This record gives sequence, C-alpha cells and structure tokens, in this order.
Amino acid sequence: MAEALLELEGLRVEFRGPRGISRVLDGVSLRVAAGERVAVVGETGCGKSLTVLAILGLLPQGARFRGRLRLLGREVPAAEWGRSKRPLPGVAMVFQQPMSSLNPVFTVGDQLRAVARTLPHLRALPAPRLRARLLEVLSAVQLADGDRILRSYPFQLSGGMRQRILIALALLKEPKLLIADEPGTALDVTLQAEILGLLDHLVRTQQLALLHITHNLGVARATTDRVYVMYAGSVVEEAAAEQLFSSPLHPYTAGLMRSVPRLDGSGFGEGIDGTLPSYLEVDLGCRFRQRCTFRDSRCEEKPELSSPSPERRVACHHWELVRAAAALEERV
Amino acid sequence: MSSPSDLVLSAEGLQQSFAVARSVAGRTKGWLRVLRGVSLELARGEIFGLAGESGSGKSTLGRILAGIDRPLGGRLLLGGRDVFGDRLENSLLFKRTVQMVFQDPSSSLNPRRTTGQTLEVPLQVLRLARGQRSARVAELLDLVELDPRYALQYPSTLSGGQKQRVALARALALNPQVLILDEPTSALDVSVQAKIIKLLLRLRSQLGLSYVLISHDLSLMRNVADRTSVMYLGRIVEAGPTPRIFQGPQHPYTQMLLAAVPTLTPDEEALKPAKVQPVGEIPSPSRIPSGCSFHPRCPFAMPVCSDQAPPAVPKGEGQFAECHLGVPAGRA
Amino acid sequence: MTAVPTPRGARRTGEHPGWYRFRKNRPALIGLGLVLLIGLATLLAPWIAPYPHQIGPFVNFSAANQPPSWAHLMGTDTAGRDVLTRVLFGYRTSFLLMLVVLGIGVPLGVLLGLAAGYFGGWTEAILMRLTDVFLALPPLAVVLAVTSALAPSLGTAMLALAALWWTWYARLVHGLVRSIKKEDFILAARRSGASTGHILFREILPNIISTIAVKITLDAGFVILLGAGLSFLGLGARPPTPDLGTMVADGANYLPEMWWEAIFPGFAILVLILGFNLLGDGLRDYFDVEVL
Ligand SMILES: Nc1ncnc2c1ncn2[C@@H]1O[C@H](COP(=O)(O)OP(=O)(O)OP(=O)(O)O)[C@@H](O)[C@H]1O
Ligand SMILES: Nc1ncnc2c1ncn2[C@@H]1O[C@H](COP(=O)(O)OP(=O)(O)O)[C@@H](O)[C@H]1O
Ligand SMILES: [Mg+2]
Ligand SMILES: [Mg+2]
Repeated sequence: MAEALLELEGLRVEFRGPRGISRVLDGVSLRVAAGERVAVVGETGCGKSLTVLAILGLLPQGARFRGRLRLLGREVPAAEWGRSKRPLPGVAMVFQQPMSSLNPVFTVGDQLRAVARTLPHLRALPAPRLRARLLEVLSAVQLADGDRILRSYPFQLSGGMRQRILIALALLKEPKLLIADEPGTALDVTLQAEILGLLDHLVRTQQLALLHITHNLGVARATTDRVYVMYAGSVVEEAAAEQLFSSPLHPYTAGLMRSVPRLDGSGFGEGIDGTLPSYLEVDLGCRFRQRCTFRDSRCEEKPELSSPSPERRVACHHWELVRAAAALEERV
Repeated sequence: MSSPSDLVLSAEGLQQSFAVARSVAGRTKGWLRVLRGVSLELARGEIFGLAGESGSGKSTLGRILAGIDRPLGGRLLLGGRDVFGDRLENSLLFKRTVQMVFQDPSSSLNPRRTTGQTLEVPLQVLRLARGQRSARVAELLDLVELDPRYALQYPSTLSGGQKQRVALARALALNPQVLILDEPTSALDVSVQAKIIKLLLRLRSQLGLSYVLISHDLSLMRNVADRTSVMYLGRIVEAGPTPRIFQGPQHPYTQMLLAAVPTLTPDEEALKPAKVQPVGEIPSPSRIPSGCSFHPRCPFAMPVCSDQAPPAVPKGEGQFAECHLGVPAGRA
Repeated sequence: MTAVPTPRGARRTGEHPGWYRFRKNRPALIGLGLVLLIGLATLLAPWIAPYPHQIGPFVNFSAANQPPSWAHLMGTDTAGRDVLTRVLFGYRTSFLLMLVVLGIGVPLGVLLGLAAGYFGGWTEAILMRLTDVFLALPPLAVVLAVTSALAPSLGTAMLALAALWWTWYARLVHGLVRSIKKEDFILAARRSGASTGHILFREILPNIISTIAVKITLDAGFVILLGAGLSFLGLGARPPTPDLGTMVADGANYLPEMWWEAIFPGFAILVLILGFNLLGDGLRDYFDVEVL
C-alpha cells in the first residue's frame, strides 16, 4: 500500500447529556494513502460527520474524544485536532452547501482573498501575485473567465459555479487531502456527476487524496478506490470499491445494497428493519444485531474487525455466511 | 391509451408563472415561467412518474395537481369537471379525492401535535364521533404499519421513516383516490426508502390508489413508475411507458439524465447512454432559451433548435419526445 | 380537548431533560425563586404583613419616621405606617397593574398579530400600519398625555398602558406567524380540511406560545417599572392605595435622613424586576427563541 497520508486510530467521541453519556464513535479507524480516493458511507446519524469534524478540529462543544491521529507519519498531539479549532496543515474541507457557504454581499474575489489572508503561505503575497494565484485555482476547478468570476457576487453565479468556488477555496490551502462531506439532501444527479468528475480530475492533476462522505452507494462506487462502511459509530466493513460492491461481507452493507433500486429495473429489496440503536445504551454486543437476519448468540459479543483477505476488513461473526447467502442469491 | 372511465385526474396545458419582484418598491421586474403548457392523464391504479432536475417545475406542477395553487392557465379535470374553473380546489369533494405527501416529513408534521392529534384533523372534517375517531386513528396507523402507541408520540420522537408514515396516514385519512407524492423519500436513508416505497406499492393495490410520483431518482422511477415523464424548464419533454423511456430514451435530455445516474454494478453501467455527458445546468426560468429550451446544453443542437420549439413527436406505444432530431443518436 | 388522551409517555420522557436544562441555568433559577417568593408574599400579605390594619386611611403621627427596628423591620413613614406592610401591599398594586396591562394587551396583540400574519393582504396592511403608528409614539409621553387628559388614576394608567402594549405583541406574533404559515404542516392541515380557527389556535399558536411567554416575562418587569414611574409622577395610583412608586416619591422628600422611606420601596421594585428579567432571560435560553 502507498504511503499513509492520514491515519486515524481508535477514535472515540462521547457527549455528556441530561440523560447520560452518549458514546457515539466507538473506536473508528481509517487510513487514507497519498493520492487515494476513499469514501465513508452509512446512514444518517452513524457518525460520519463527527469523524470528519474530529480530524478537522471542529468537534462540537461538549464533545470528549480519544484516539490517535497521524498525518504524513507524524503523530498529531491531541491539542492540535479534535476540538482545537485550528485547521490541520494539508487538510481542507469542501463545503457542499453552495447557497449558504458563500457570503452574498461580497464578491467572489473578496471572499477568496479573505481566506488567502488567513493562510501563512499566501498572507505576504503582493496583490498581483495573489491575483495570479486566485486565477490559477479558479482554472483548476475549470472555471473559465476567472476575471469576471472574481468580480461577481455569488447570486450572479449558478449553483454549479458556486460549488466550484467552494472547491477553489479549499484548494487555496494547498491541501494534500480534500474532505468532502455531502449534505443530507441529495444534489441533482447532473450537478453531482459534474462535481464528482471535477473532484476526480483534481485528484489526478493536483496529487490530492480525497475523503468523500456520502449516503449514496453509487456515488461511493463511482469515485473511490476504497470504501469504509459505518454503522452506529463504528466501521463495520472496509474494502476496495469494486470488491465491496460485488461481494459485501457485512449484513448491513448487504442490506444497504439490496435497498438500492437498480437502473435495470430488477427491483429492490425490503430495506432494513428497525432504526439505529440509541447511543445512550452501553452495549457489549454487535450494534447491528437487533436489525440483523443472521443474528445468533455469538452476536451478544462485539465482533472485532477481522481480515477475510488482505486489504479487506469486516466486523461480523457471520461474514462467511453472508458471503455464501449472497452467492446463493446470485445463482437463483 | 386508457378509456375515459379509467381517468382519475387529467391536466390540460397548465401554465404557471411567478413574478420576480426585485426593486425596493416591489415592482415586477420580470416573470419566472415555471410551467409552460403541461398536460397529463392519470389512469386509475397507475403510478405516473415525474422526473427532472431541480427547478424544472415538478413541485409547482404537483401543487397544482393537489389543488394547492391555482395555475395561471390551463385546466385540471376531475371526473369531467374543471377543478379551478368551478372553484372546487378547496371543496371537500376534491380533498377527498386528491391528497399530497410532502418531501420533508420533518416540516410536514406539526412539532407541537402528537401523531394522534395530527391524524384527527381530517377525521373531524368527516364528523366522526370521538370513539370512531380514535378507532380510525388506530386503523390508519395500522395501514402504514405503525404500532397504535405511536398515536401518543410527538414528531421529535419519531425517526424520519416513521414521520413519513404518519404523513402518509394523514393523507389517507380522507380515503382519497389520488396521492401526489413530491419526492416522498429523498429526505430518507436508502434502507428506509425501500421500506416506504414497498409500503406505497402495497397501499396502491390494497386501496386502489393512483400516484403521481415526483422524484429525481431515475433508478427508483425505473422500478416503480408505470409511465415516466421527464420535465425540463416547465415542459414535459419526453414521456412514455417506463421501460421504453429507459431502454430507448429519445430526448437528449433524458439521455443526459440517465448518463448521470450513479450505479452499483457494471451491468447497470452498461445501460447508460454513453454518448451524452452531463454538461451545464438548468437555466433560470426567467431566461428561457429560445426555440428548444434545451438547445444550449444539447450535444446534438442544430441551427433550427434555437429558432423553433420542437413539436411532440410520437415514438410509438404512447412514447413521445419534443425534439427536432427525428431519431436522435441512440445509445452506445 | 381531543379524543386522544394526554401523551403521558412523551411528556414524562420529555420533562426530565427539560427541567435539567433549566435547572442548570443558575440565574434563571434565582429569577424564578424571586418571582415565586414575592408572588407568594403578595398573595399572603393580609396574613403575613405585620400591621395589615395600617392599609387604608390610617395615621399615627406618634410613630412617624421611625428607623428600622425589630418592631418595624423597614421603619415607618411620615404617617407612622409600617413600611414593610406597605411594601407587601404595594406589590399587590404592582402585580395588579401588570396583570391588567398584560391581560388586556397580550391577548389583544396576539389575536391581531395572528390575524395580520395569517390573512395577509388588507388585514395585514391596516393592522401593521396601525402598530407602526403606535410604536412610533414614545410610551411614557402617551401615557402622560392620556392620564393627564383624563383623571389621573390607577385605572386610567392601566388602560393607557394596555392600549399601547398590544402593539408589541401584534408585531412579534405577526412576524412569527408569517414564517410559520409557510411551513408544510400548515398546508397539510389545510388540505386535510382544517378550519381557519383550528389552524390559528391549534396549529400555529402552540408553536409560538413559548416565544410569547418569554416576552411576557421580560415585559412584566418593564410594566411594573413604568407603573411605578407613573405613580412617582403622581399619574398612577392615588393615595391611600399602597403603591411602591408613590412610596418612593413620598420618601424621596425626606432623603437622606429618613432613607428607609424611599430606599426600601425602591429596592422592592428593583428586586421584582430583576426576578422577572432573570427568569425571562432563562426562559429565552431555554426555549432558544428570539424576542425583540
Ligand atoms: N453536539 C452533539 N451532542 C450530542 N450528540 C451529538 C452531537 N453531534 C452529533 N451527535 C450524535 O452523533 C451522531 C452522529 O452524528 P453525525 O453528524 O456524525 O452523523 P452523520 O453520519 O454525519 O449523519 P448524516 O448522514 O445525517 O450527515 C448523531 O446521531 C447524534 O446523535
Ligand atoms: N412560490 C414561488 N415563487 C417564486 N418562484 C417560485 C415559486 N415556486 C417555485 N418557484 C420557482 O419555480 C421554479 C421551479 O420550481 P419547482 O417547481 O420547485 O421545481 P422542482 O420541484 O422541479 O425542483 C424554480 O426556479 C423556483 O425557484
Ligand atoms: Mg453528516
Ligand atoms: Mg421540488
């Protein structure tokens, strides 16, 4: 495997509340190699955003966290991530609410310059050189006519252009890793395809790694090399994208994939019964077992991540059964 | 196609525009032409799919079909009567025939009212006695597969899927024949979506309902709609039986939408038209391009396309497309 | 109200964390304590006041102007009346004023605000123009004009304040209703056949009641202060009605020697207003609402 750019190990995040402690993240580990495209998928509330927020130092007030983070082989002290409020060098976030993430009363140029002034490597740049740099990032996100764009106000631009500007903002930080956390509501497929195409282009041309947070399995498959599947605060499965989608090993992944309607009209499954368990309850068993059709007595014990094959991990006592069942289904 | 007695609801040449008030004095600066002559026929027991990018006018059309907004032009016909012409849209008769389910179940349920209280509103209109009302509330909850104890719960204690079930139960309370479903699952996780869609399909056969299903998820449309219409800038640019639309899309816009669908397997990938890449974005309805409104984004645009609006060309078996290309370049 | 029984389960689980959140807000708790304490003392004044018979026309010049002592914790005034007793009964006037002003102003303002916000059009234009006019007038000036034009009395002052006060609520409710009426749940209720009355009072009102409650609490102190101010100027309560504002005004003539005659009533006003404001701020944080 290529050199690790970012390694997160055993991230735990909990909140103290009136009804007790909610232990949300229960030891999340993930790894992004240089230039690699990684997706994190899972349903609403499973902790995808919290994971990213911890890496960015933006955990909400009142969150307590534990775990280790290594960036480019260097151990990052706990004071520099989690709740540090300071961005990690080399990591930038792409915001995906093009309407609300830009200030309507300033021009795009003003907003790009305002961000540039907060960055050590751009702060001292004389105006003409800074301008050249701004035009450069605009062309990197494939916005032609950079001069006009710099003078435009956000409302004069289309949704797709605004989204590109948000990516340009992230690129100003000259990151090695771009993190994109998809908003809850789905984007238009056409716009989505366009932005995914752009992100892909950036990964190839700018030697970036991409950590993509999404609900959409199809999006994860289209744009990534490796996928982490999260459920109720833990990573339950990790695999190369093609492998994962051709043979899911965790019952949750399999259930998710069966729920997705297929473009060939072959229908879709029954979905997954039940809802995420409460994070308030301390649970020593597998967190998915209440919703799982493979459940038995072994599931009262929490399954560790095991490696059915190199490069692949799954946290389920019954992954062999899941694989066999899927193969059987295939044949029928 | 369908005999007149099979028609439950039909629309002829619906037009809708909104004034753009920009100046401080609130004077009209122009018009958004959101619907530009939309006609459709909904047969009994049918699922009529409506797809298109956001901003194409799907929700505006849905609100008119549900009697919420008056169109500026055209007619809505119910049982041979002109709904808006005869001012039936707020009559009990119309409300007992057509009901709407909204996209976001969190905002379509009053946070200060329990499920039971919400479901009682339509029952009061029917002048049911108290005991009958409680019985009917339980019956409605049962219909959407919720336990009767949910009658006492507030929306904040329900999951997204449960909320959408309650919204569905409310829409069913008056025993309508038609449901307008505006993106009923796009705020939900895919595993929950599968369950809600299965429920909708079951209710259709159990209660003999007809649906207008608005969704931008083409894979979903492929699997549930009997007929699919594709909207672009306020017109239905292609419509027909679902399998035909997906296997032989005739309009370049339909092909573009299909090409952008994220998929899970290589088999599905092969079904996507390869020659049409998603480009550009839907223009604002305040500046509708001349001629064929799709021509600025169309890879096959010809000189005539910017001059003349194309006629609806029948393609057989009830399929038609509004495109100057008699036979547009097909799939790869 | 409806056939569905009270949602007990939901309440029970909802209540505990709510109280917990409120309880953690120390100032709000102090405010609640002050208001409850003063309210209770006021209710029980006839029984707990040391000299309840001194209310009304009573003079005892032999005991006049005595400094605080065990017999008279707050001393006596120029007419020889126990200041503590008069403070306790003075609170009654304050509460009465507040209840009347808000009791008339709030329902009126809420009703008009609901109507203006929900119906829009002419109803809205006329009602909101009217509130603009009222809000443009300085309240104290209006009340001064009204009370001095009519006979200055507690009743006139209360009516004048109430006539002003509804405008704040009309404006607040109008804004809230305008944003809430666009919510899908209002539309859905309408399409279910709900009547306008049902929408206004069962769907909209429960969603804004917490904001109104916060505003009422914050306003209570202000109304009391204005009432006391009017009495101080001789335009509110007339002697011998015990009134904190009047007491401060009268006592002020004997400052600084007989300080207790003005300071204790003044302090009493201050404590009550403080209580209401702390409580109001706490409720505002608790409900997480914005109030003008
Ligand atoms: N500030 C907070 N206090 C308490 N609990 C929180 C807080 N923030 C998040 N949580 C809990 O953490 C869980 C995970 O949240 P997170 O935002 O990471 O979900 P997600 O996977 O990103 O979901 P989505 O797909 O909807 O964005 C939530 O279910 C919530 O219960
Ligand atoms: N009440 C309204 N006032 C002004 N513009 C509106 C209104 N409703 C919809 N529009 C505009 O009409 C267009 C179509 O909107 P909509 O029907 O919601 O599209 P869709 O549901 O296909 O995304 C959009 O440009 C939208 O901004
Ligand atoms: Mg998230
Ligand atoms: Mg819509």
